[in-house]
Amino acid sequence: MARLKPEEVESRRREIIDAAKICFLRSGFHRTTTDEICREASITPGGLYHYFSGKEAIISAVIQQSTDDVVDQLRTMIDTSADSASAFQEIAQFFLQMWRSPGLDDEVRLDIEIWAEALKSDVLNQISGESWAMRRQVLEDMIRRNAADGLFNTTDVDARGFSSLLIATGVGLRIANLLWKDDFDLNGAIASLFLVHSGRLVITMPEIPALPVTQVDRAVNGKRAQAGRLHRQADQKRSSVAKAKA
Amino acid sequence: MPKLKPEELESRRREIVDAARTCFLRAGFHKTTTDDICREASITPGGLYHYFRGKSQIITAVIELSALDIVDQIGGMTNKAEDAPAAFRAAGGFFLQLLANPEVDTQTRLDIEIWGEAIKDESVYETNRKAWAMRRGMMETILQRMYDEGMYEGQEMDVKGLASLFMATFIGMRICKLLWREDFDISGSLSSFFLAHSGRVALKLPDIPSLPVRQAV
Repeated sequence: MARLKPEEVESRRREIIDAAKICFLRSGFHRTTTDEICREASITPGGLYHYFSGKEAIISAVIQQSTDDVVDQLRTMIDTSADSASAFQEIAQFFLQMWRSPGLDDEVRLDIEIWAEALKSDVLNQISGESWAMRRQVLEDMIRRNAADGLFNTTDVDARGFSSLLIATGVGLRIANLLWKDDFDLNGAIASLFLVHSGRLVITMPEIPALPVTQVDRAVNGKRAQAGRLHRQADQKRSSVAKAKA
Repeated sequence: MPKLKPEELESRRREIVDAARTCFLRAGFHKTTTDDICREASITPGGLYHYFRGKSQIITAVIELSALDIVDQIGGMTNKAEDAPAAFRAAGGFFLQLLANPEVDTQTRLDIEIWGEAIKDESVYETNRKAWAMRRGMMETILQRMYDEGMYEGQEMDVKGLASLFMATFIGMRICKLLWREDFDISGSLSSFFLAHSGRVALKLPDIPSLPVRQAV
């Protein structure tokens, strides 16, 4: 194999990941073969092997690349917008656009396959977990900033809990839209989401139900430090990308 | 095979479905064989075949029965409730207990396998769709009652949309809790849910972004 400069290696790697993503979205994780990826990326099996040890390594890279792309876009919106109100508007539009994308169902199909694999493979479990943690962290930062800038009716907002709720809602909307079709009202659900979260449609609830303490709580408390680490890594990466662009 | 009365047939069928559900929850859909199910249900392969022609038919019955069971349980509790706040407390308490129970993760694991089948197999897809429509229908009944009895403040409610949001949020919580337990804050997400839906934490949004999000095909 001809010797490539580091930046050529990086751009070739990126090309392979993009080609693999096309294949996975088209045929699903299980039905995609490495031969198919080689054809799509115009590379020999030996060449592919130089970059990735196998299909699991390729899907891992696809997950990481997609996450970096989304997180970079969201971070840029936050960093470049005039204030937190306009950042929120931009991010809300970003998600609404995503719901409009005709390729969404293919993405969710792939998600389901990835989750099923993640239940069997520790490596994929870790990578899928980090990827959703990074998305959640962006939302947490946005919520914290919104709260500090007075965008909520209270300053007492649990940004971590709220970002967890938003991630769960987003994941659930994607699944339900794919699997329940006409029995699920995506537009109605999103309209209700905005009505609820802007205080336009609320339940009279004198008391908040007491939450059962679960093993999950204890695990979560023990793992806060790790989430912080991921956050810092994302920040470092972002600042290095920003430096490179400058 | 000796001739059974219709009610005996029905109860034997139910036993097989329960046994199959136990196997699927224990070992997953793919790793469970029809032999496992026969052993669990104490039935011969020939006997099993009399009721179900294969694993795909069995999982279909398991999906249907699970939905019926949960709708019966919650429906029973909420129908008995004397007013809407009591019905809401009963249903809310049920979901909170469900999420606190470690066994919910086993169910979510099986759900993810079922969804993997649903995207490949039309009949599993249809059964799964109808099973969730039943749950959403029950949610609509509860929300409509809350609205009718004046528990909601504010704009007119789109009951199908709001029930869709509730269902999506619960299913999302189960997925996140199973897959990303180290990062996902289940307690925080649940309290945020109640704080948001009671208006205690709300965004000051002068304008709601314009919808629909997807043009009719």
